[in-house]
Amino acid sequence: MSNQEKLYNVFSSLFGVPKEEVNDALSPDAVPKWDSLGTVNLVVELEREFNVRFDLMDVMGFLNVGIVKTALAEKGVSFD
Amino acid sequence: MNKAALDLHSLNCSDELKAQISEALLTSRTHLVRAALAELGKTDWSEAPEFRLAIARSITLESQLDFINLALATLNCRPTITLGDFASFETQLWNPGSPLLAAPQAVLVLWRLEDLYPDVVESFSALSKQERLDFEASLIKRLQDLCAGYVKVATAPIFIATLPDFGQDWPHEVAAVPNLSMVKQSFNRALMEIASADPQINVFDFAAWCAREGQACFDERLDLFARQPLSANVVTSFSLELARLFRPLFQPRAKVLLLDLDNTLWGGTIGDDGLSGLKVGRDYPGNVFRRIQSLAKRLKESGVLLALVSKNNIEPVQKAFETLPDMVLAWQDFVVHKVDWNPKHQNIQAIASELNLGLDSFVFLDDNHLEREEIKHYLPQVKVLDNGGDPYSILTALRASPLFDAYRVSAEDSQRTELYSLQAARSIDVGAANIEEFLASLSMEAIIEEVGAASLQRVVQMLGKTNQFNVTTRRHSEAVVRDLIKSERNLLLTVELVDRFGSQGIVGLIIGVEQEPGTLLVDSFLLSCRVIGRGVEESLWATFLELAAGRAFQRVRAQYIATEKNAMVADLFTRLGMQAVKAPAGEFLYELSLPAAVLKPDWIKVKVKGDEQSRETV
Repeated sequence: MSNQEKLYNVFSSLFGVPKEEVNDALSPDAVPKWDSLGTVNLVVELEREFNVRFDLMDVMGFLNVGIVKTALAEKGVSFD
Repeated sequence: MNKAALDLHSLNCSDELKAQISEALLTSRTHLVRAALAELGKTDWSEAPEFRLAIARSITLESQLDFINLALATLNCRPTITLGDFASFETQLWNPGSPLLAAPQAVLVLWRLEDLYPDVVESFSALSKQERLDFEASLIKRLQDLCAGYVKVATAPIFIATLPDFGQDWPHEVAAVPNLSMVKQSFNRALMEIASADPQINVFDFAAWCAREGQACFDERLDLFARQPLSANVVTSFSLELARLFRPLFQPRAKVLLLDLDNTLWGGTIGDDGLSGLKVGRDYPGNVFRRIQSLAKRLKESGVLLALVSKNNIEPVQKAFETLPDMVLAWQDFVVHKVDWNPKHQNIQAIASELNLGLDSFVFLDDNHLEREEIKHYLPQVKVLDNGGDPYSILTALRASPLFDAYRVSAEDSQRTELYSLQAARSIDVGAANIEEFLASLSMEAIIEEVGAASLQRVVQMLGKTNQFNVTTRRHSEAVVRDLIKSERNLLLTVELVDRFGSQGIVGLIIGVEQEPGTLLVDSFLLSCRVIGRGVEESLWATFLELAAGRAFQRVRAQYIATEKNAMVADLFTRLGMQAVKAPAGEFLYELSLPAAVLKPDWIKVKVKGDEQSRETV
């Protein structure tokens, strides 16, 4: 499974969004479960899935899937 | 994560699903946990009893709910968790209308001092000694008031967390007494004392769990970010700890521990190594076996019956018990000894019928893999403690098992081995020619008393675990019984049996509730297995009817609800002289007009406690 798929799977299973609807532009506005609590869950799941640790200041800027992807890429996760 | 903490014995589902649940919890992945819960929902588990749990808390738990739900489900219950808001604990626990108190079966209070008084904690070392002492006193007062206010409005058991502590930041803060650790210790001590005096209040030893997990159980980063301190690494451990906390509400305590001898209670085999070659003592590995024996002894003292099941000749084994200097267990600590060459599953079946106890209350500990497999194969109801066969893993398997968990043990519990041993003596001591002469030779006295504070715990315990002589098998909680005894129109009686060997403790219970004016309904009627066949139920019944008539009841109604285990009381009410009345198919209803003439066994003397005169039966 590519890292892209893994990332989309996390969003899909955590927030109950169909996989085909997850894309880089998906934002909390369109996902009811992606609230502040959802963000905490997201951090925990991403840290487990990709074995990284976020600075929580960055987490406050997680305004769509693409930004999360960029943050992961900066921690060495490859999305080629 | 300690795998031994995950006990799937009680869960009713396929082995594949158990494996899936186990993987989901042990890997701590949210999506696997959710998938396992979804699978479980498709099985019979959806008909398991509901568990309505209310949690008043000072920390965010929302993200952990799936884990907690799955862990609780391993108790074979369907959890419904209501989380409190962040309003004060008093607001939520003193108000009967609060959402938390909408009919919960248990309430958990989970808090940290750091959340309750963040400013005080942050500046504690800057306070004067008197201010610190005052704070400590006010904290304990708050706990006492919280408990007192709760028990006034609620009947569900409450489980209150001890405060975790990881010490001070600097040595000079340790030296300034009372320091924060001492304050938390005082609080925890006060909590334990409150709980010891009131069975409705229980301790959740959150501090002990935190100590086992270490400071890493809290993720300070997520704590500061979202007040979600429980780290992702310990969410499974925490959830399983809660499952273990609530386990006694759903799973009865195991009653019998079946113990192998060679390489389980001592090192070596007596047949090969001889008496002098056996290892039990102060040095390794003898000290491991000594510790295993100590655990078994502590269980025995808390009311678990020990039974010896060993393939050996009996004479050298008895000699070993007499002569080995460092044994903790004595021969008479075991209520039954099966030391012979029969297959163990046959011996265990024989023990079950001798003690008149169900195999599902038996736990088997043996170092030998083949013996364990034999028991699993022939007697699947017996719980087998898996272990690696080496002494340390046997020790761990016994210590980590939740099968013997109980919130409290009663005086009857701690004397149980003696009671059952006396039972053996009683059955041997039959010099009498017929059964009535034998019964008369026991000089029995039935002491009958209304249920009150002193007997409440024993009553709830009997309701919870009596299966065979039990006409309705209603598992009333302590809260329900408390409510019942509040009304003068209900009649709840216990019977204690004393014979020439001593007291058997409280062995029977009848609960009459006013169904309508003039009519008393037998809600529950039960008797401990060990006194069946002695006429105790007749003595209790006769007194029940006399007291009911004395309170102007005109009739008594009763009901028999058949279960897999209570066939022995199917004809009880007709035997006691009641008339069967027309009932829907599958139900059995009985009625009797008062006052009624009742046959009472003449070999039991009845004493109604609280009544001045002791009445001889005719």
